[in-house]
Amino acid sequence: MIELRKIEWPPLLLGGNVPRWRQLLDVGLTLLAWGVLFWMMRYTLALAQDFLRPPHFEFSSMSPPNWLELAYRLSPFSRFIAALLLWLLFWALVRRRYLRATEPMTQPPPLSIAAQAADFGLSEETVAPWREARILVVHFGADGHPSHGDVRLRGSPP
Amino acid sequence: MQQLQEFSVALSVFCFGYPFVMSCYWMIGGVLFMLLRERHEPLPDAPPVLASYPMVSILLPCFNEEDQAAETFAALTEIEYPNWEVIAINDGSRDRTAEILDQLALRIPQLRVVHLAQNQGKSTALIVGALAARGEFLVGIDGDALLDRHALTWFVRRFLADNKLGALTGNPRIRNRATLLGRLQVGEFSSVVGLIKRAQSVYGTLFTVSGVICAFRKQALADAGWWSPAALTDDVEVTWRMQLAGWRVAFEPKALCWILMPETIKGLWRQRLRWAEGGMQSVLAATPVMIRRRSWHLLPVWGNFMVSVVWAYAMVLGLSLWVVSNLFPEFTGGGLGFSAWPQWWGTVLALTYLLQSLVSVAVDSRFEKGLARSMFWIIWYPLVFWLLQTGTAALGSPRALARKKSSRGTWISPDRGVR
Repeated sequence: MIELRKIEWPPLLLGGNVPRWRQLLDVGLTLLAWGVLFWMMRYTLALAQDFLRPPHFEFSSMSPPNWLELAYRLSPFSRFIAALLLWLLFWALVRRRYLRATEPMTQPPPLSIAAQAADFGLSEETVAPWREARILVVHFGADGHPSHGDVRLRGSPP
Repeated sequence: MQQLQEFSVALSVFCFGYPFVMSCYWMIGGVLFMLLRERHEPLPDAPPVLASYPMVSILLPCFNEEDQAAETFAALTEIEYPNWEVIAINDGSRDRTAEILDQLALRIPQLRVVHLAQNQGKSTALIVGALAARGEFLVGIDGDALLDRHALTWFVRRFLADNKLGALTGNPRIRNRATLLGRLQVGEFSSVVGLIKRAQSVYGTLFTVSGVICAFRKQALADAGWWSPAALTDDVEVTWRMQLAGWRVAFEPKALCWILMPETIKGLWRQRLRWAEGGMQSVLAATPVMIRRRSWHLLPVWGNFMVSVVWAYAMVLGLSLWVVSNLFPEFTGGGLGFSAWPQWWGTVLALTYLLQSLVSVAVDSRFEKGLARSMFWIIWYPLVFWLLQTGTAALGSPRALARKKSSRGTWISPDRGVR
């Protein structure tokens, strides 16, 4: 008999079976990757350090970056981003009613058994017992569509 | 040679510009969605009382799930919704799944079991499950997913508030965090998947409702033509057809579901390749219908997908040019393509991605405590993961084009991580 144990939420699997060396390797490699990024950014980081240390908010030992050149390099992309920002703002404005909707509204009629069964070439009489079955076996025709079902158990569980 | 150099520069600009622009776009979209919808909402653990509680049928397709069944059903027994049933569809499993489900059906009052006489694939399993389902609202989860106790309430609340809403996608959270690959995907699902879904929700069309946690209105599925047995990614395919049929789809971040993801390179590669191939297959199938019906509201999602595929090929071409021009500089007249070693642009991209991760942690942290810790591992995403995505997109697209229309989608026994 299968045992249903109570779930501890959140049900995270933190890897009790993963060897310690592998966990250390993951941490070491990740630190190395951060190191590579910081090394690539060494000039930017030095600039930031210079800007933030006393005297605060001015460059004392390094020359400030060429903001114009930076802006020039990024300008084609900035225009795209500005256009997309406007596009999203437009849709956010147009669709805000749907996005914020929480109050219930009149619902469309549910799909009938007959209509659903007909989509697969079945009759309502064939499918209706399936909805009362607790355990059901469904068979298929040569065309790969469900053809009929055998109800093995009906109703509520004992 | 001059033309080759110019082409190489244009290629570099595109390869940098596309992810840079999209990253900013997703951040803006994610923040807008949070401001418009999430900011005023209750926490996931405290759903409001609904005006009514219509019957909800959970569809749980199972194929060789004997190892996962105990956990999946244990989570289902904790559901806090007054009117629900779960239909477990055993798709011709070769292990003890059938026996386990029959046993559970005698113990869990809401469980009903459907055995398919022969293995048919996930789409057909879902179709049969929907035929047996009593509810107008269907919730789909995978056989190894743990549904949060309040997910049904959050889904139904959205359907009741919008009668044109055909489908919802929930918020999958990664369970397995034993290895680098597992931890990396925790960040990916927040900073990439979560932000994309939020941004797409703002303009109202989604690329996909995630099959691992999704909800449907039956009438909308009928209008969309149900799930296609030929689809490799049944969820992407049905999402497109539903939107083409005029129904809305949306993201419900409070409907949580805890899922298992691959923790080996091979498993991850197979999964992403299937997603790439299935995505292309679905978009190709939807394209003529979109044009015929003039469903231009889908064009942004369509264009985004197509440009991302072109980007993958541009990356392959750029890297190839770099290799060739380094091996044979005399033939290419110097460096071409872009350097495989991140330089100025690469650093800007990495920083942009880190900013995107920070934004996603800020937006997503209400769903998971300690999410900020995933930031430590996220560094790998721009360094390595983009290459994986590039490879799968470049390989998946021709596979989708070459795939026979008569082929049926099949079950893939997934890598479920390390315990």
